[in-house]
Parts: sequence; C-alpha cells; structure tokens
Amino acid sequence: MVRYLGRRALYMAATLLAISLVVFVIISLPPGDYVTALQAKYSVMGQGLTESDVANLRQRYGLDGSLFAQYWHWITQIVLHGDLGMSFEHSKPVEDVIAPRLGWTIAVSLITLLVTWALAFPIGVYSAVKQHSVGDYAVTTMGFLGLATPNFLIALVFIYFSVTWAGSVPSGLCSPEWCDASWNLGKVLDLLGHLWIPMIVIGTGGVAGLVRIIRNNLLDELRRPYVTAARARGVPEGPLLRRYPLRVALNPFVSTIGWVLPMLLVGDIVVGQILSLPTLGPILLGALKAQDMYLAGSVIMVLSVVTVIGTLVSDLLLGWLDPRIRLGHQR
Amino acid sequence: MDSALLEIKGLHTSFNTFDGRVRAVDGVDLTVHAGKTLCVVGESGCGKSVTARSILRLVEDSGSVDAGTITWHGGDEPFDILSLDAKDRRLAKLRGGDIGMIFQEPMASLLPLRTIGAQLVETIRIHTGMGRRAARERAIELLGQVGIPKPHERIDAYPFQLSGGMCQRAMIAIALCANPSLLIADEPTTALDVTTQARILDLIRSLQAEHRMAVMFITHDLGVVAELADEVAVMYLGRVVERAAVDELFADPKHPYTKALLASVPVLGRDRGRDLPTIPGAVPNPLHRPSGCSFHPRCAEAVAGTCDVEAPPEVDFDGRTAECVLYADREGAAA
Repeated sequence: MVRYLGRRALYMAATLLAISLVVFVIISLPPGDYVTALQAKYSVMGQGLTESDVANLRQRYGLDGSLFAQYWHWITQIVLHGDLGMSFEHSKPVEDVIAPRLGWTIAVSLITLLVTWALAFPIGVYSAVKQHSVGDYAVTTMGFLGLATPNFLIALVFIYFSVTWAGSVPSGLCSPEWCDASWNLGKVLDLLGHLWIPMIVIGTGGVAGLVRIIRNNLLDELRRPYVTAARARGVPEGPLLRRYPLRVALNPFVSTIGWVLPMLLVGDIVVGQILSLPTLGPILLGALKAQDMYLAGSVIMVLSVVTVIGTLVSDLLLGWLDPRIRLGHQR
Repeated sequence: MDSALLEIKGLHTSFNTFDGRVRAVDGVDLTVHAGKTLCVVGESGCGKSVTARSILRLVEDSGSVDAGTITWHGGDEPFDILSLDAKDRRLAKLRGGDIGMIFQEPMASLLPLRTIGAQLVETIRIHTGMGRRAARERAIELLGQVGIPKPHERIDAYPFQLSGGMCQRAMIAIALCANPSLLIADEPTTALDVTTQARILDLIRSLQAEHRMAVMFITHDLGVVAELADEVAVMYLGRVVERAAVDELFADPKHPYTKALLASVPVLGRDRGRDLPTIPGAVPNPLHRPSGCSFHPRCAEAVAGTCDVEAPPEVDFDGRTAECVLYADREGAAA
C-alpha cells in the first residue's frame, strides 16, 4: 500500500510538472505580455508610455528574458520556496490574491457538492427503481431541461426576478454591512441568505447530470443476473437494492470526484462573474485578460493539483469499494 | 405414482417487446414429483427458462404471467404461487427456502463486489435466523459439501477469484442452504467446460440422493437428459409437445419434433464421416407463430390441410402425452 501510494505520488509530481510546462507555454502564446496590456490600458486613458518606460517596466517585471528563463524562474520559485510569484495586475504576491478566495471557493464548492449529491442520489435511485412511472418521467424531463439550460442563463433569470420583485441584485456572498464584520450569527445567517442562489444556479446542472448517471447505471445493474439470483434466494427487496445493484452503481459516482472537484473550485467562471462570487473563476478570467501570467498560471496550477489529488482520492475510494480493482486479476 | 410437489397448469407468460407482445410460454402443463428429476428440454427461446422463472415469480418487468396456476404441494396445505401477494411470507419462504435455484452463468449470478461467503451467510441468515457466527460455520460446512476445497479459505474469496465451476458450486451451496425440497437448475452447466459439466452433474445427483429433493433441470443437452432425468418434458415454441418417462422417450419418441431431436444427437463411431441429420428451417419468431401446429413448417410428417389449420390435440398414452395430430384417433384423445 505504501509502495502503491509512493508510486502514485511520483506519477503525480511528473504529471504536474508536465502540466506546468504546457500551461506556461499556452499562457505565453498570445502576442504581447502584461506590459503591452498595460500600455493599451494607459493609451485608452490618454497617457502614452514612452519606449524607455516600457523597457523599464519589462525589466522590472522580469519579462525581458526568454520564455524558458521565465518558466524556469517561476517553477523553481514554486518548488524551492513555495513562492507563486507576483501578480502584476493586483501588484501583490499571487498567494495573497488567491488565498482569501480559496477558502470561500472551497466552502461554496463543498456545500454545493454535498447538496448536489444529497439531492441527486435519492432522485436517481427513485427514478431507476420506478422506471416508466409518472415520477420517473417528471424527473427525467426536469433533468433534461436542467442539463440543457446553461448555468449563466439561470443566473441571469435569477437576477432579473430579484431585481423586479425585490428591487436589488443578490451579488456576492455577503451583504456590504456584514462583509468585513467578524464571524457571528448575523453574518452566518446573511451568508446563508446569499449562498442559496449560487447553490441553485451551479447545482441544477450538477444534480441533473448526476441523476442521469445514477439512473442509467442503476438501470443497467438492475437487469443483471445477480439481481435475479439474489431475488430467487429470498433476499428482501430493500436490502437487495442496497446490497447488490446500488453498490455497483456507486462506482461511476465515485470516479466523478476526480473531475468534479476542480470544476467546483473554479466554480462556474461565467456564473461567478455574473453573481460576483468571491471564487477563483473570475480571478482566472481577469488574469487571462490582463495577461497576468504568473497569476493565471498559478490558478491553473492550483486547479491541476486539485484535479490530480481528486483523481487519487477517487482511485483510492474505488479500490476500497471494489475488490476487482483492489485485488486485480489474481487467482 | 409419487406425489406431486409442484403442478403447473395452463401457464401463459408473455413479454412486451418493441415489435409487440411475445407469448414466450403459451399454455404449459408440467408436474414435478417429490424426489424425482424432471428435465425440461428444448431449443433456445422455447420458453423453458421463462417457465422456470415464472415459478419463483422472477419474470422481469417487461413480462408478466397472464394465466395459469402453479400449485405448491410442499407446504402444510397446497397454494397457488401465482396468486400470492408480492409481500406474502409464503413467497419469501419459497424463494431460497423451499425452492433453491441455480442459473446459467454462475459468475454473473454472484455479485462480484461481495465474497461468496457474505452472499451465502446472508441467505442462510434469511432462511434460518442463525447468528452471524453460526451461519458462517454452516456456510463453511456447505461449501465443503458441494466440493469446494479448503472451504474455510474460499469462503472469503470473491467470485472473480474462482473458476466458473467453483462459482456454480457456491451457487449450489446457496441454493441448498435451507434444505429445499425442490432445486430448479436453469441450464447450470451451459457456460462450463465439459469436464466441469460432468462434475457438477455428479454433484447435483449425489446431493439429490442425499437430501431427497426433487430437481427441475432445464437444458438443451439430450445427453444430460439421459443421464439425470426421471421424466422429460420437450418444449417447442412455448408449449410442452411431449412428456414421458426418460426411458420411454429415448426408446420410443412419439412427437416428430422429439424424433428429429433424437436423430440429430451424434453417436460416437456411427456418425464418423457423414453429416448429422438436422431439423430443417429455424425456430419461427414467436411473434409470427405458424398457424395450427407451430412445428408444422419444419415437420417431416406434417399432414397438409390439418397441421397448418388447427392446433394439435394433446394425446394421452397411459401416463405420457404428446401433442400431435398423428395420434389423434387414438383412444382417450382429448380433442
């Protein structure tokens, strides 16, 4: 087990290194850099930058070296000092930009994930067991609509109705008067008052997708010979469902953790932007627009790390759940 | 005559398919006698498995039993299994208690995620109410009985770690756990290789003698029939076309279909270098059942103007029956 974990950790490190290189190259691919973006910004404001200003800025930001030199600088700083570099746009260390948002992002994501699972699981099981019932048709239709509607559209609809009915836009995760307050009951209540909106907006698609996954898996499993065999030996229907097909249907559910985690972390970029959520999504978008390459690179690296860890977690869980994976094909 | 244990009368089971309703079992009458072996033989799709599944009410959602009675005489008083409520305790007791059942694909009939021990102990506890520890002892004992070597180790093995033959033995152990009076075996050796097949058949035979239980054995293999059966029912397109004791059937087949089946069995030595006789044509689609006798398009002895028009009568030959017009003028024929 320790050896297995060690090997996995080694693969993970190699994967991350490869990802970092690709990420960095792709970020630097578009013509221009942060200084050109800055130049354009200033010229819009009517302040031209002189050639020497530009050269000075390039030197100050370390943008005058080759691409590889920049990458080498960035990655060694991360590996050796845990330093993600400076964000040009926010003119402070990348950690300070990401860290405060990371907590929120994880909190929103985890709550959404748990609510999504708590809703999707029973609904999926119900609609598989009662296939062709009115409830199943209702769930399937709703799920189809939920999947087909883009999240940002749901967000816009929410904003429209809250403006017309309540006269205010529910933005962010806290009201202005509570945002800087220290934690107390009022702030928690205020948070809950805001949280349900992104939860519904981000959650609908997730619930709809998961319901379909569970329903289809379970429908496949319900027709297997082992279900008939278990029924033939008198296992009552309730335990039969729980101990036999549901256990197998859990597998794909668990393997989704790997890709659900990072998706939740960025949140939905567009939804985050529309609802001005303090998650990583909007930051990433801004950084890419401003060609703030250290910030963008770092956000993507954080996501990659989470993805790789998520995959490892789901692999371990699968091994724990499924002896066929744990024991391989030994006889 | 021995006492009847299970009596099937006029069983009709059909399935909804995309193309319409298929009558998989179309009026089957069968009797299993206590302690005896009934072999149900027929080609694929003739309804033999569906008949077996109808007994324990295991027909899937797309199908349903439309008519008939299945009477169980093994309890204190006989009752019709088909009229039981799905929650009736007598049904729960039948499944795995009074009637054990084994299936065609032993590997697929066991959940790969749980050890065979877990699945065996679960069944033992359902039917005997034993404690966990006692049930495990009993499970090891049963696994030993069905010839699994080192049962105290194999009890913790997962199905995919065992061979098909071993899985079938485990299935038999599960089926036997409550000392059933009937074992339904639905082509239990089809998915196994020949040597394993022979061993499983031997096992079933010795267990049958030991537990004095009846066996309903479903197969398409006439060799197996000759070896195991006391009584044989030959099925074609959802109907029993001939029923007889095993020696009578092999010595003097009445129905043209049975004759053709027996003629197509290879005999070592005799058939070297020549083609085996086959039954011409293929089994018709049960959706488009031929009119009259459903075997007439393939029958060598079909009588034009009769067989393709009216359903053949069931003819009684003192304890054996055949459904064929050839014997219609016999005495005692029920037209």
